[in-house]
Amino acid sequence: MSRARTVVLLALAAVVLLAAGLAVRLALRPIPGADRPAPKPLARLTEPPSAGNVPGPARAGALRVPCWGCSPEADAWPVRFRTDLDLLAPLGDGPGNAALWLKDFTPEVGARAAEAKEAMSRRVDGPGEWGRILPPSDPLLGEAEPWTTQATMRFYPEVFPIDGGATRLPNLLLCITLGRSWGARAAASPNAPSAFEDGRRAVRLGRLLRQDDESIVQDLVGLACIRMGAEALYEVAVHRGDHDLALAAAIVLGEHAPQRLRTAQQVTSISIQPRDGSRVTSGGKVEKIVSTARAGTDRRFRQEAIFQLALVRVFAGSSGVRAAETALDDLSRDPDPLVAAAARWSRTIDPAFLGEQPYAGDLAKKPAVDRIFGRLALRFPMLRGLLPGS
Amino acid sequence: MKGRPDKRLRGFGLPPLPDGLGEASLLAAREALSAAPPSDVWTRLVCSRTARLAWAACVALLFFLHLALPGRAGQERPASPGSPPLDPEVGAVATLPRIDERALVPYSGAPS
Repeated sequence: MSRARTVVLLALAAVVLLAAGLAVRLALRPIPGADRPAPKPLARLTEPPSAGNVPGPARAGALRVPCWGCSPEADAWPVRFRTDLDLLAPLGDGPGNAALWLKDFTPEVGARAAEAKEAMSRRVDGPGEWGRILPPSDPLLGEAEPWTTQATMRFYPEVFPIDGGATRLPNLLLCITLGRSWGARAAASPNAPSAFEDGRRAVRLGRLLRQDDESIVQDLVGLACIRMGAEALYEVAVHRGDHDLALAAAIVLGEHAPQRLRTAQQVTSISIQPRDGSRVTSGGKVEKIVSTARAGTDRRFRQEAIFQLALVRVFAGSSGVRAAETALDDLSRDPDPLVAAAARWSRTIDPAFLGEQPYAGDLAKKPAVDRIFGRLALRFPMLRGLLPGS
Repeated sequence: MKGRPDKRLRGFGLPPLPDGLGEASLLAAREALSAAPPSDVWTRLVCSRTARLAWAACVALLFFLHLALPGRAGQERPASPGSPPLDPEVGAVATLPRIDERALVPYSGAPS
């Protein structure tokens, strides 16, 4: 090798090394906004609840069984009960917001989070297949009862702000435990004077949890509480020979599984990570996500689609990114403030930050070299497809 | 013995150049020059003032960017301060079966 060639190659190598080092430092640099302060603890609610009046259940007329699988218009149905739940458990008219009480039990930030943890340790095995429940005379059950007579439970945005993938959830384990404990208490003592009311409390708790219509997880927990209450009401009604109530409870129970399946169908259709773990941002997927975000039947599916649009910004090619950002710009001005807040988060979140969150995939688990390539692809969308593993 | 040398060397002067010797020499030199192997691209790059200036500017710019970039490379990011992971009991309720979209075939039969 000639001396001139050696000199030129060494000079080029120096430039390449400096440029590569700069690219790696750019990819690994701290992300503005990622180092957020720890959340502040929420102030404890000190006011006792004003117990609301709860009307008796409406009398069932000619009941119809909704066919979620065969009705031609079922695809356009909101994923809600078609049967009037007032047949089982009308909501009370209490003026308080039950979320203000439940928020005190939120893990990490709730003023009574430790009490909630302690209550979970008091749980015992329930009868039959009810699972872990609070003892029938547990004081927390008594404290929760008047809150189920309120007309409202709204966590968003009064209690928790919309914060995209980091939006806080209430203590859903406590909610499930309350619903399960009331349901089990009713089913275990069908002759007890409070048996019907216990089943109705569980149904009302579920209805209240579904009012927000903000997150799919909270909605599914609300749905589960309604199922548990309906199961208890069915057993008590059969035991006491109340066939109208038993029939209404059975029809409500029959709507539980279709709603879960429809939810699964909706989530699958707007998820860019289908069941095999791969990422899909082509084949009309982005268009489907955009259409759901703009006009989904339920707000929680719109919110999920808006979150998926943030992932599209991270992983899709340039045309998908453009479609996602155009939709998010429009949705940032949506009349629904929760939708608008979610869209603003998805539009402005740093893709490099989002790309490394657990819900965005397994990038963080990759070997160091792949992580650097992955981060470079997140930082510089024009490099996507050129870098290995991106 | 004494004699005048110029007289004795008279007649030994340099002969005149042959006609056309100058042109022939220059022609041969030009041919030799054109027949020599050309300098390769590496040599030309090394000798190019423009290339050397461009390289120096490039290196200086990269050094400057390295110095201007704040932060320490390899710094780990803090975990997202979002909601804690779902409790397994809640997860059992909230985890839905993933549906293979290819299996979502519209049902065309009558209600049964």
